[in-house]
Amino acid sequence: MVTRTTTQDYEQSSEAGRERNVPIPWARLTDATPTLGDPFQATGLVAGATFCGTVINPGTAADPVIIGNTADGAIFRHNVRNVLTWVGGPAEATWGPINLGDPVFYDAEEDTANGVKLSTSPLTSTAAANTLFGHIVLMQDEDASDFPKGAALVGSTHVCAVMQV
Amino acid sequence: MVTRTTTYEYEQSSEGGRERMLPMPFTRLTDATPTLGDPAQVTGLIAGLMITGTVINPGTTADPYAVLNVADGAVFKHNVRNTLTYGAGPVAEATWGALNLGDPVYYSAEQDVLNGIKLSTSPLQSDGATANTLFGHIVLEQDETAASYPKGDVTASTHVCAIQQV
Repeated sequence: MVTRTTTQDYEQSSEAGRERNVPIPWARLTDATPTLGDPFQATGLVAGATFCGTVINPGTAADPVIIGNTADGAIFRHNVRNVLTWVGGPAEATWGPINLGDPVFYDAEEDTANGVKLSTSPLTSTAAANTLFGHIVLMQDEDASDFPKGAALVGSTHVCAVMQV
Repeated sequence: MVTRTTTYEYEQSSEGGRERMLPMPFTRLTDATPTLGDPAQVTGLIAGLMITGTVINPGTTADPYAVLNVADGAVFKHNVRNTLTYGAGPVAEATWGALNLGDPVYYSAEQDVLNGIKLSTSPLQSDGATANTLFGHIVLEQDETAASYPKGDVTASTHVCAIQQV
């Protein structure tokens, strides 16, 4: 397990219209033990076409329903893994630096491997599609000089502002 | 270079929630010399999945950040080329078609090089395989009627259209 940063205190979506809060039962989540501030994915019929968002209220065992913000354009700070491809196992195969504008995917395999739900890998280890979660954008404190984050030959996890799609 | 119309005085996004302003360094833009009111694309790892939007503030050399409105549903007036396909080596337009309401419009860096127009109706680049990123769809302008459409025909032309961003 790599170190991951708790991000639940951060939200950058101050502009109007960037909230679409929907309740979803735990039973329909890819990760049925949701964590406040984490990305989530609702399971669905078609790989790559599931819907995603950020956990605003994780619910409770007595009331197992999350409130998720699924708004297009909402920006949250999330942990992102720099994996590009997977191999069977599954195991991470290749990595690359993360840069502003890069697409970020909900990656259930990465969650299992490292406890990080987002990565830059568009495909799973069996070549199924991961769902596009959003894109890397600047944080409010303009971390442009921090990019690119990570390197090409080693796995690493980085906190980035991610704009949801 | 074809004639292009300046469009930055036009903005149709009067409805709430149609603004999502992002600062983006020039170095991450496909066109690193942004122009006020023009479409913009942010480079990224995967062709066809880039961030796109409209330049609200083009920045300056001293402060090389553009501010882009990337909001889904925002409507701006943009120049659109009616290119459908490109031929390869050297890059040239191959086929054209009429523009109509609802048509998808793509950010096309090749079109920008050819004609100074950043949007076209070509989903693929000149290699016939690499995707252009979907920028939005053609919708009605505030001051026109549906009778204005279709615009253009099977010859090359550029048209000002209201584009609803995706």
